[in-house]
Amino acid sequence: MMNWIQGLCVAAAICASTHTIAGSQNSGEARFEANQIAQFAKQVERYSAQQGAHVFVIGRVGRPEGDLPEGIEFTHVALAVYSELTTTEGEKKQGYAIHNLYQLSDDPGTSQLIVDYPTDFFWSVHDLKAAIAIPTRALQQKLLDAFAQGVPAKVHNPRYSVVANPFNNQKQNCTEHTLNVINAALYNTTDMAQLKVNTRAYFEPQTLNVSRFKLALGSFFNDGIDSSDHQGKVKTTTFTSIARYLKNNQLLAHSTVLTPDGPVELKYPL
Amino acid sequence: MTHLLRSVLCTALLSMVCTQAVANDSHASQASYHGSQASKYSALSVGESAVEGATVSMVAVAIPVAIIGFSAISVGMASTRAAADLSDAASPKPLPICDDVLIAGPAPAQALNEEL
Repeated sequence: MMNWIQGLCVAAAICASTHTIAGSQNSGEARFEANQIAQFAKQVERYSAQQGAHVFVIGRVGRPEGDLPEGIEFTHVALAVYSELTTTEGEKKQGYAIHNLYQLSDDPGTSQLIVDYPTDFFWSVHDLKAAIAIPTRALQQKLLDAFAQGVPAKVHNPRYSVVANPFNNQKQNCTEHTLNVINAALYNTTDMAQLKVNTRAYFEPQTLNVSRFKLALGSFFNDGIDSSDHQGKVKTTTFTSIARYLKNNQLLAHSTVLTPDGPVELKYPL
Repeated sequence: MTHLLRSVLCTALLSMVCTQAVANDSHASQASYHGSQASKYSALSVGESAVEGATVSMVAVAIPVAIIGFSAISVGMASTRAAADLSDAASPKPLPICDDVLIAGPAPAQALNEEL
């Protein structure tokens, strides 16, 4: 009987630890009314447009704050690009297109690049809260050029892991892909070896306080959790670590966290 | 030994259930994605619950543009790259945003099926 209890305790501990790196799913049910989501999405668009942002880093919250590990505030990150949007009726509109790397729910070890729009992006969030990091105008210019040249696809590695190591290209998650696009634009290269050398030299990832054993056990049941690309402590890319990287290198013009009630501070200051 | 086996099995079973929540940034499979888009469109379009005064449309194409002065310049046009200068010297000006609610259209395969 005692051993059954011990087993349950171990299992509970693993459950708790693996929940801490849980993210959001695009296929999930909406937690808010459709008009609340659409209005918040429009609020985020208008805020960013008011800043004159042609390209910015955007983040969302897909899990309860209490489930997230120390240092992680947002569960999905992408790049929003000011665009001319042609509707299926042929009308031309102005707004942001969001360039995402999404894990496939029916193939968790694989990702796909998908463009969606602010209402899609926030559809199944846990909280109406948006992270916004607007690069300097010079970096925005380089990012626009990068998008014109198809750089996001060139620096995409479809082998997905939620805890991907940004210092190599063995696995990739949404935040590492975002960082890859930024660095490819900055350095005018899609040479992955060169990009990873530069990342190692200048980028400080977030250390995760989750044991390798628990991650290894998780990976046994879920292809999307794989820490085999790490040596030593598991470190991964986050919204805050990207914003901090931009700030430390004089590449950040403005950052904030937007809620329906207005801007709030980042939980983990830059 | 039996006790150890029980512990491992117990752990494994619960982990199987719990690690499902670890999935990050997951995108729906094609089938459920279509369903999700349809229900999203429906939820946004239903009379009183629709966004007040806004039209809901699906986007077919998105082309990055740079707003220079009063013009929107397609970023993909190489000849306009010199003109599309967003250098730090130029003070950022607010960009126009449409009032409509725009969402992603169906996946290409579904769009084709609908036409056949």
